Amino acid sequence: MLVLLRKPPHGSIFGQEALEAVLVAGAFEQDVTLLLMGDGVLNLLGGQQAAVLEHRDLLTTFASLKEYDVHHIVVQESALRQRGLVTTDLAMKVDVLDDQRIAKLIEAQDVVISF
Amino acid sequence: MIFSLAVHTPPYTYQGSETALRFASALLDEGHELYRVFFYHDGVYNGNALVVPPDNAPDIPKRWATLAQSHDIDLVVCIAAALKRGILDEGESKRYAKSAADLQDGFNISGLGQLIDAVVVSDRFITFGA
Repeated sequence: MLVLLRKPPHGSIFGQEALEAVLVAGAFEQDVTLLLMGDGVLNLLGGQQAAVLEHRDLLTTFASLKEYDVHHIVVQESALRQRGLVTTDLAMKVDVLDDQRIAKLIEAQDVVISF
Repeated sequence: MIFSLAVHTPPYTYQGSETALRFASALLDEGHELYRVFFYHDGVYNGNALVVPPDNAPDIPKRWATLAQSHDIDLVVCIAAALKRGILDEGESKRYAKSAADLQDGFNISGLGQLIDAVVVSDRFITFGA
């Protein structure tokens, strides 16, 4: 299954909800992929300070997903480029795919949960 | 300067109501006056007294009420938006024969006229949406 997140952090709850969906899927031993497209890539940006907003620090959890048996984290290459970002701006190692490969990735899933 | 705010976002889904709270505190700290906060659309959920916030998250309805009490601010939920979302004070609960009232103390239920009045009275009127 694939969890798709297209919303940026802090402005809404959806980044947190997507992360929780990924964690629960991992806990249920599902082969889960987290795919970040569009503004969703901003969730992985390093140096965020959620505590300033009295919010949970999601970045640390995103960055430690591998410890929760979530091994596939994919970022949309064009989304990074459009936002002037490179992979070293992100707080974790990810796979970067172009749009054609993302289309294939989505097609290969049984289920896509969108946020 | 006299400010009024409109809040269109519910708590815990969008950042809008927390941003409005911070903005309200900031303008009061700067010595300005906050005349009214008008909660409209899903923003009326900011006045739900039955909110149980998740761990370590702020109790947003209580924060509004506390701010209003300490600075004498009129918090108004739009009556049309509130009734259809089940946000009722004692009077509306009785009028419609409902089993409970859930409007947070410190909030008032009133009509769109209060929005227009706020716009007329205030030097600045700012809307917080999604």
